[in-house]
Amino acid sequence: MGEGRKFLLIKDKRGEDIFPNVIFIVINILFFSMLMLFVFKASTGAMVYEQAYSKQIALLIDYSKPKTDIKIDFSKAIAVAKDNKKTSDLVKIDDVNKEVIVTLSSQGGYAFKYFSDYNVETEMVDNFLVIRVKEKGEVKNE
Amino acid sequence: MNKRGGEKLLSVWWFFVLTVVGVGIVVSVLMFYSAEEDTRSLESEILYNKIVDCVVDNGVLIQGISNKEFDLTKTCNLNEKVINEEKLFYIKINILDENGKSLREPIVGGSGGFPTQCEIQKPDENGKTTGAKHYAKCFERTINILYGDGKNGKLGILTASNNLGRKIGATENV
Repeated sequence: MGEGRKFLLIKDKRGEDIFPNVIFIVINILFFSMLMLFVFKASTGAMVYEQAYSKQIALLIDYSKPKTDIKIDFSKAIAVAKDNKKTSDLVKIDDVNKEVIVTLSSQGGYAFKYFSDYNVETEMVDNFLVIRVKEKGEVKNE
Repeated sequence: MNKRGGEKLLSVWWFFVLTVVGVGIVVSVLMFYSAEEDTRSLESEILYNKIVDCVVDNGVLIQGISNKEFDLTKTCNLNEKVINEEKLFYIKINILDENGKSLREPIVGGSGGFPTQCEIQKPDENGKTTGAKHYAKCFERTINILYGDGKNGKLGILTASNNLGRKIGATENV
């Protein structure tokens, strides 16, 4: 008889089979671990950060005056994007529709409109996102 | 198979409990994290500040605002399309003399339905407001200004925002 087969026949002090109890406990542990993993993934997932960063950037653009440079710590977004295997084009400014689009995964992103009529450029410098707010019509990378 | 262990392992009732707990937690978490962070009140206040900064210079109303041809969006660097076509914002500027008489017809831009929504959301005599979460969020202030040759006047500005972001699908072209 193999070792595995022997294990199925192990009995506790009262002479009851241990195997079904072990299976029962393992299934429960697996189930609750999966739930915990899901909650953790959801709370640190791209969806939450995409919305937060796109709104933050759009409000900062609207709050700014032309010829303003804003530097945002983007390290958390970069870490989330890396977890989702995305390394480039994390932030886009749609100058036609006046939208800030933040994409931290390959499953889409989040877009938020701003109302100011400025030329806006973004650039990643290390772990920081630099937003340059310029007058409309001002030459890019001036 | 042991009777008690077998009961635990195969119990339909236990699987039902696990399913209910699991589905409950998953639905709650998804609802919580997919909820919109509401920045509309903040946005309408930013819009108000931007307009005040633009039309008032050191407490004096800028020249040209009383002209009929005055273009608010161009003067204040506001995007014409976002304000007037997409109906996400509303602006109303009232210029009054010191007796509260209008010096010109109000300067209005954006969605015409928002003033009603702002009115509905105003607190009643008990300080209670309606919880209309899909209505635009409003910001209204009246400030003292000088106009013309140093005459006293008032500037009433109402701004509103119903700018909610949108999720973009993986296949959507951005």
